[in-house]
Amino acid sequence: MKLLTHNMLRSHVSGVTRGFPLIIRADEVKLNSVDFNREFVARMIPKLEWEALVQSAESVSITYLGHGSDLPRELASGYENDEEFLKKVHHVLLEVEVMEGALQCPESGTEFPINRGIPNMLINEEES
Amino acid sequence: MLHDVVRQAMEKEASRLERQHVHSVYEKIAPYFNDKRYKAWPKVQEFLLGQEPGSLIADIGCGNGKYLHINNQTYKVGCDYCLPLVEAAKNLNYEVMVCDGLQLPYRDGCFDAVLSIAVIHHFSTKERRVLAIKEMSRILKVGGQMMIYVWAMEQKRRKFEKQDLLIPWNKESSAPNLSDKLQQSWQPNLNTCSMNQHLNKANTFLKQRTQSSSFLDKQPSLYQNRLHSSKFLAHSLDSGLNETHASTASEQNHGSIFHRMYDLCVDIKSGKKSISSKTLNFFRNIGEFVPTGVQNHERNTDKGSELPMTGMTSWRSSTVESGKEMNYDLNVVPLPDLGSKYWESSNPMNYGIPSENKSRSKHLIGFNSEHEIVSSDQGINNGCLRYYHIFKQGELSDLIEQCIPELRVVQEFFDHSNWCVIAEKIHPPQS
Repeated sequence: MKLLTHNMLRSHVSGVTRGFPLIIRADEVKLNSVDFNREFVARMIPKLEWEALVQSAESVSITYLGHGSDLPRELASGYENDEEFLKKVHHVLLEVEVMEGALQCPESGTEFPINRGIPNMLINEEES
Repeated sequence: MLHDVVRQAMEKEASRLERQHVHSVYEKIAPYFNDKRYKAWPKVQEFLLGQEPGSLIADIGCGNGKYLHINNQTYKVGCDYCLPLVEAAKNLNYEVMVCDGLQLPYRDGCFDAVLSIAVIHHFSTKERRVLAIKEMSRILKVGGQMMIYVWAMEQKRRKFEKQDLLIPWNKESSAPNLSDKLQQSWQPNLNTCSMNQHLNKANTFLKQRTQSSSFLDKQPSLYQNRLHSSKFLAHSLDSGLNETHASTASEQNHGSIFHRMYDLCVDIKSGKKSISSKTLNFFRNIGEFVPTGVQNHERNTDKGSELPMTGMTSWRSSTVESGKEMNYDLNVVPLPDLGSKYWESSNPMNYGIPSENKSRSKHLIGFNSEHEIVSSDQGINNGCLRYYHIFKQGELSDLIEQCIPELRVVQEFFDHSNWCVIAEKIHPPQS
């Protein structure tokens, strides 16, 4: 699961109101090399929940970097011309992949496992 | 209130039917999927390529990721209920997850486009089909488009009598030399061995039933008048079943819903339960769930030669067009029926019942022995029967327009034996 995907995910457990963002537990992180596409990243940023991205980058980078991410808390104006910034976002969105771990619903605490890079978002009927 | 209970019971049964006749079948057949042999359908490709660079696209029911490689200027997230297929897609480096189409794990309005190829026809009630489309609409941004493909009733090469069917998946027909098979091996699907098995089973069952006293033995007229004439079983499972009822059918039986409905009616008639006439009408209006057989008028259109037709209405065939998996054995198994119409018809599944016995307590026998055949593990294609709701022309767009006001149908067309609808989200849902 890439962090761009995570940014689209929310908990769909019944009774949950927002269910976003899902808390990431990253046990194993893989770094991929993906070609930088400036336009793609610049177009993607307005579609993101920025705060959630910063938060998820933070929690995951601790696993693979040993420290937090250096994404700014707030989007600066004119970011679309800031190549260095766009590259950072590119890396976080597309190159970082959680292979093993879990996603946790922030409201109900329900856990969704991630195995071999695949989140399993099925809700166990017996549990709900 | 009764309605709520009915609905809940129906939901449970519908989800069980899908678990057994969609999810578990795909898990079994996933290893045989090899979509590399098939080209992406041009219309789907066109739709994907038409999305702006930087678009976010959700492929709901992505299978092994057949469409996830198209348009690398966009970001595609695939999902499917079937883990083995999702794993296959993941091995090709696609971004995928496992989820339920009725509960998509995505936030509202976050996708620029949504794709649903050969998925909605696997939901067994109208309610669930609407819910699945509503979910896709929910995750679509206003101004975004979704493309939906469902299997069509109006096909040149095959004819269906009913819309709700169990269709066997045929391993053999997915062999690489498909085109050869298409031209050469038109065989009626008369597996002698399995036919005999069914015959024996049906006969054994028949004996048991006629020896033991049954509701029908006692009160055949009630059953005939009330249930058989009302075409008790559904057009699809849409409308409902009275409350959850302790079933005498084993839980693993595919058709336990029919058992339950039957039991329910027995109870109603024998006065164990009170039921409003409204509910009875409700049952009557359900329509016809079960096909009386599927006539499969196969023609080798390329050569212009007609295939010999026999008395059998069912033929094995393969096709290179259809859903994402492309191969179907068209010896379609109709879903179990309570009505006698089914047994009086020239149904291909009728072979097991000697005619002299048919007239005696035929309703119950028909119902149960058919049930037996359908649920048999060593039955047709090792139980790889997939549930399909086959769409009539205009049905999908009507469904969308009547039930999901925030969507507007932009295009509707026939393509590769499917009905395709492109719909646009024109405003946020009014809640």
